[in-house]
Amino acid sequence: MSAYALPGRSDPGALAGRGVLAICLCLAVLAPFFVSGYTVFQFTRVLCIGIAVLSINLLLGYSGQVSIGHSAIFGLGAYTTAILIHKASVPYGLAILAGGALAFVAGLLLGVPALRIRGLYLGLLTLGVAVLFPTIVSHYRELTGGPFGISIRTPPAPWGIDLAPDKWVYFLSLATLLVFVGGFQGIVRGRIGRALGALRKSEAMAAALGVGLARTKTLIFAISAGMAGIGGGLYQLLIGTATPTTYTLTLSLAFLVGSVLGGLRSSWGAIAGAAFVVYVPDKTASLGSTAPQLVYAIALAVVIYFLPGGVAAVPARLLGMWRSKRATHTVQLQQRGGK
Amino acid sequence: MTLFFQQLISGLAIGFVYAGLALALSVVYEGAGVLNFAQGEMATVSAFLAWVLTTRGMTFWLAFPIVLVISFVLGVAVERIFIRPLERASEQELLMVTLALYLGINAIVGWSAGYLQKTLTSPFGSDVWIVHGTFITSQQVGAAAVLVGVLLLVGILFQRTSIGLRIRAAAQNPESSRLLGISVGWMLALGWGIAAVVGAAAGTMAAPTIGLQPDMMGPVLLLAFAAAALGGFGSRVGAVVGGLVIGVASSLAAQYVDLLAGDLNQIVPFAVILVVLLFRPQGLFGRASALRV
Repeated sequence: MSAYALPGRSDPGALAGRGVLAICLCLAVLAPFFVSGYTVFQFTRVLCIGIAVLSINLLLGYSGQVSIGHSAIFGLGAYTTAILIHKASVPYGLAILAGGALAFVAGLLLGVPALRIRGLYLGLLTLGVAVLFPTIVSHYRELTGGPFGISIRTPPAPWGIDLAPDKWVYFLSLATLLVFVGGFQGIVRGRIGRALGALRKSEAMAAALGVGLARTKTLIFAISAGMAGIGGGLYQLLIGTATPTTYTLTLSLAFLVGSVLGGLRSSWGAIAGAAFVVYVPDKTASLGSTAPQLVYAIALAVVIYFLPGGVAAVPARLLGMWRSKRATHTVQLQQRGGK
Repeated sequence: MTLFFQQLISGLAIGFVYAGLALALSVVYEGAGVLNFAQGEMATVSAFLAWVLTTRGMTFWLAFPIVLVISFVLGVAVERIFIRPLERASEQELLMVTLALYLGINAIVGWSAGYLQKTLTSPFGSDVWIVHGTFITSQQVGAAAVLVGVLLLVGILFQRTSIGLRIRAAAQNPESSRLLGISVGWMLALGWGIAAVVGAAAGTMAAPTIGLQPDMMGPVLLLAFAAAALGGFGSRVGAVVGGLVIGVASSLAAQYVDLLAGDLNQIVPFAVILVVLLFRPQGLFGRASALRV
């Protein structure tokens, strides 16, 4: 019975959720006007990396595919944006979209051969992409600027909007992330989402039910790659210089850590995970150069063993605990009253 | 021609290291169904252990067996502590755990040993023999001999002993094995221990050549992945053959393919993985799997 109940007006959980969301949005819009330039920079990093983590959630949380190569896809978006702006003076909006499109195509190319066998090979292929990307980028230096990278200027706000460039990039990233969160919800709740649910339960069963296994999985991989590519393009606007060492295997692992930590199947969990990935190296760097990595590992283990569902599952758990406590209490009262 | 043999020899020498790590990966894969991304880091720990013991005045040939025993215990412990609780978890979750182990072990080794490269003195001396103009070092020959010995012992253990049979049974068909009274959990843990021993041998034998530092096994692990894919995941013979082929192939490619000479040599293992995936996904020695519904 309860499984079919819709979150109606009377559901305090959903109502509280919406309230929290509205407050967070207001804070996100107001925040850049009250904090330092460096904090705005860090917030924007969280948003861009949040887009990448969200793209991992779509992949890992809903289609069960592991990508260790999203650093390269994120980097592909960033480099495409940088090269188009730097070499061809393409407007940056168009350059970012081109980066996303290229990443989408790369996702298709990666996803198709990996379909021949389950998860294992996709993991290895994407690992290869992550390892090779910095090497290849440094090698073709005429195009990419080699190890020193390629630089662009952070663009000013258009249409005479009175905003500093860093704040403009912040709002651009925020808007993009929100659009992607909306798209994410649409995908996972819609037809593709149900097909993915069937695939996760049993690929054979889903195929028997007429879910196009190959088509659905490849499409999700490509969509995820496209999202990550656009995230990379925005990241490029933010940091200005693209260097090969930014887009290494470590970044891919950071995306995965963010995804697992925030909660694989949650959209706002992606932002929490991204915040962790951005702030932990900052806060722990003073403890030694290996400290951030150790914290990643411990956090990953804690979530896997003790907190399945990640940070995103915490409110629901607390609510569940509170409800079950109240329920037992009520039952106890009734029993007492019955005597 | 001399150049060809020179590349062949060095390819074979490093190929035995890839073969060892690939065998470790394949033993774990057969049991747990996951590629252990931390296998290389576990081997790094063993190599550092050998360094600690030998620099404290122990002779290498006393330290080596001690390292293997400690590695075995650590391998079993990793399975018991980190993998066992996730018995019914998905492949993705297990993969995440091995990634967490990779990050954690790498950080701990880096933290305790630092990132300055250290030297593990070769236990085979530094003799160089010249055979028909081809240079062969005593380190190459000695390391290859030790690794061949370890690989053979592991092969005999799995094929000819009852404990090996039980480990294989537990890995391939846990339900039936349980009914036959085999302690499946402990057999899988033994598998992890054996994998750790083989990895330790590979790491310790490679360390004098590739240098001792926390990230030393990273590139080796990539090539071992390619070797395991080429041989067929879970096939022990395949892993060893794959390791040798990969070693020789990347050595020859560096010599004869201009594009792959310098930094782009890293492409070789992944090109192999891609080709295997496209044309023979079960690998050279693997069985094609059919899904039972």
